[in-house]
Amino acid sequence: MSARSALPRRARPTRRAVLAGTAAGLVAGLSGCTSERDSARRGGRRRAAGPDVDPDVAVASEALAGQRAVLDLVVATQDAHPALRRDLAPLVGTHEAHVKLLGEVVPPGLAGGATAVPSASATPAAASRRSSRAVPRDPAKALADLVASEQQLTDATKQHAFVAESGAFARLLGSMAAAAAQHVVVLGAVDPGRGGGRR
Amino acid sequence: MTPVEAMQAALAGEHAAVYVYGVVGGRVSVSTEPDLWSRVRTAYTLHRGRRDQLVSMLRTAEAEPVASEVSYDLPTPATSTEELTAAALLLEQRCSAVYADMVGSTSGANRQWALEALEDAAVRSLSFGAEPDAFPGIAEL
Repeated sequence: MSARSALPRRARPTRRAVLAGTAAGLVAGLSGCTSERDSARRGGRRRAAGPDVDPDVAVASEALAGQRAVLDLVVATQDAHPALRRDLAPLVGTHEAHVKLLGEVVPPGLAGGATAVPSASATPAAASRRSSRAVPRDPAKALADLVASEQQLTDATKQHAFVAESGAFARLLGSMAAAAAQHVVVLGAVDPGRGGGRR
Repeated sequence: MTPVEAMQAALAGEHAAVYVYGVVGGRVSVSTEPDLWSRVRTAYTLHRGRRDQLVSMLRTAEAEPVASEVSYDLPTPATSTEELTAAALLLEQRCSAVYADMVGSTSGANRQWALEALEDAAVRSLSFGAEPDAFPGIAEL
């Protein structure tokens, strides 16, 4: 009767509690249960980031790097184009929530994408990482860059969901991908003229 | 949830979607609401296609696809434009939830398919007035 236990909880706990529970569940599920692995996760071996890293933790680490890169770009775009700040605020909130959740899953030594996943250096928007200089002065171009980044993030996150071994983690990543896909559409509706003060 | 159970839940959701979009489509005036009419029409066609795909995926998995109900209660009275739009929105949000579950309960090609369906439902919900959501399809977040 595994179907029953997998049904969504009906008594709604607080959002914070669920977030913590989800992250804790993911960590337990991702890192395995042996005490040896637990100590490895807290100790020095995590830095090796080699064959000892659980595949899903490697996926989470790469997903975290991608989320951080896009979050940085959105914030940098807000800084460069204050007139777009309000339009971009919901995107910031969503990426922050994703970073927070993934950050609770990824051991500190692995955050940043140094993982066993071969394409870690090619995470979406890694190229346009944190530097307001990378934000075009033309607000329309800045928005177009964001659209491209969110689209890349959507595709990469779907790929992460596809390869995730844990079903619960795949579900979470699938939802994060859908959120990024929503951003692509939302950004398409933003009027770049409102950010045009610097033209 | 087994893969088949998740696909059956998705199929049940698509049966409901096809029914509700059929009713909603019949109540939206093409002359006064051409834009909404076209969005509903597109959604109807898409959900019908997805229903048929799920039926064939379940048959491939050697399961008997669940049948549709005779009728479904519309989530709202659903006569005004706002109510019809709200009905479509609720439908897409429910589809997002069953597809998120299906992502978590399947693997391989079926998971890939569910990922696309989840993305589509989340994006489509925007066209019916949804606000962007940090975790589409995951009610507990």
